[in-house]
Amino acid sequence: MNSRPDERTNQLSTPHTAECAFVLENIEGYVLDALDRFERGVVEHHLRWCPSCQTLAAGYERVVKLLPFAVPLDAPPDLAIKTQLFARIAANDAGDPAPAVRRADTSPPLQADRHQPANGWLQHVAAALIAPLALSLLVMGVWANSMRTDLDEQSIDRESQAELNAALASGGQVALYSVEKESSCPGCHGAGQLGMSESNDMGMVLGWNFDPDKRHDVWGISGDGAKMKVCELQVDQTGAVMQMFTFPGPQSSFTEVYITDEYGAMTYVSHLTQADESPADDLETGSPVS
Amino acid sequence: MTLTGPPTGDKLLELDDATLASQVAEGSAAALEVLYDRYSRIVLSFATRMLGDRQSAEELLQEVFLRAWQQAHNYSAGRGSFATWLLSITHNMSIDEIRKRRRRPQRAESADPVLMLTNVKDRSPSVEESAELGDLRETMARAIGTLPEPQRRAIELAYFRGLTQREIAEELDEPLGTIKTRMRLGMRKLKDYLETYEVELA
Repeated sequence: MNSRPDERTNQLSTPHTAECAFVLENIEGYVLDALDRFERGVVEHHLRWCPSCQTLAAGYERVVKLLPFAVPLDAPPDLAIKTQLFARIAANDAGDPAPAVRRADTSPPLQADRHQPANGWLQHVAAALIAPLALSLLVMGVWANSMRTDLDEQSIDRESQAELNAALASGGQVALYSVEKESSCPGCHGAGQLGMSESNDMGMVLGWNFDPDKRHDVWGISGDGAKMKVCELQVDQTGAVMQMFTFPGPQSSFTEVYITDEYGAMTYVSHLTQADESPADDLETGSPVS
Repeated sequence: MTLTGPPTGDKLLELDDATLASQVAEGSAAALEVLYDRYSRIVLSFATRMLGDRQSAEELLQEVFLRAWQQAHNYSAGRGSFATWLLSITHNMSIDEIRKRRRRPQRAESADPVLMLTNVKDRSPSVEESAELGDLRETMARAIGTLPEPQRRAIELAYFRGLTQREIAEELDEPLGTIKTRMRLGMRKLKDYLETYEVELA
């Protein structure tokens, strides 16, 4: 564990709280966009309501914005590139600039832009209802990503945030599992991620598109084959889950995690995964730099 | 909308970036051309470091300025300089391209990441570059130079290659905690250095 929150607290006029520990531990990774989705979601949620951490993040984001200036200069571009560029503009190939009156828009900082869905989740849901291809990976990915944002804003209260921070920050590392539907469950449409602190028994499920009318129990299987029920998922009416839980034993002893329905049939399985492998990452997002 | 003609001489050249950007937002291609002359070289150099080859960077250069043309209305001088805005666009578009490449079967791979910030060949100011920009580049080069190589490399792999801390740990075969520490110390050192030298932080 490498955090030194006390030292960092002293750097700022506004003190941090214990809830800030996870962010203090990961703020550099956040501003460099080097966190995996799960960690990034935790940081982004915390930053929404913590002025001290916002200040810290803003300071580092300014440093990141200056990094390109450290690159040595190469030879200037060929004149042909400029000629071609302005020929495209003259031919209106690039489209017109948007009206200048929109300059008054107060769009969020660039760093935040990169992590936000391009549109609100309602738009994606609407698109999903209209388009017969709503279940394509593209739409699913965007929708899922949008849902995450919605979840961040609505579904975690400060208490659970504090619990999560304490749980994850004290452990330092988080084991990430993908949550995928079991192949024999045709009615399952959910997906998500499951994170577990590697030094204590705390974990968190982040999921979407689960059936809100069905029961979902999380189970762990230890190395010797013993099964233990971990928790029952609280799925909201939109099919979303964001939930903390405590493992009934050291999570390191679990080799597999799965989810069952009310009849005990396996519906979802979790595999240890590398960062950023969720469906939304398959999108070619195209830099929403507004 | 009607495009304005070519640059209208010295008057346009004397305008500051923010004013030019506002003219671009109103459809002045001439204003964009002045900004292109000021920043195309640094955008190209940065994109070349990001993508690892000049040809791809040249393609990206065009797309960056097209994006600036289309989205100039989103630029707000109150949130930072035009140069940082433009380079943020460059970074985002480069990262998108890098991640696309990663999902595709490998094509020509990018340059050695170690050299992204350290292979200093030319620190001389470009003809078009303002003294202010030249000073900033020099200060940033010195700031980067204060970092021990492992810290610099961790930052480079995240920023220039778009790798997560876990991926960096795997690539360097180091514990995740070590990478986090290096990143933290490096970023903190950069921030302290820039504050010490009173660099206007973007």
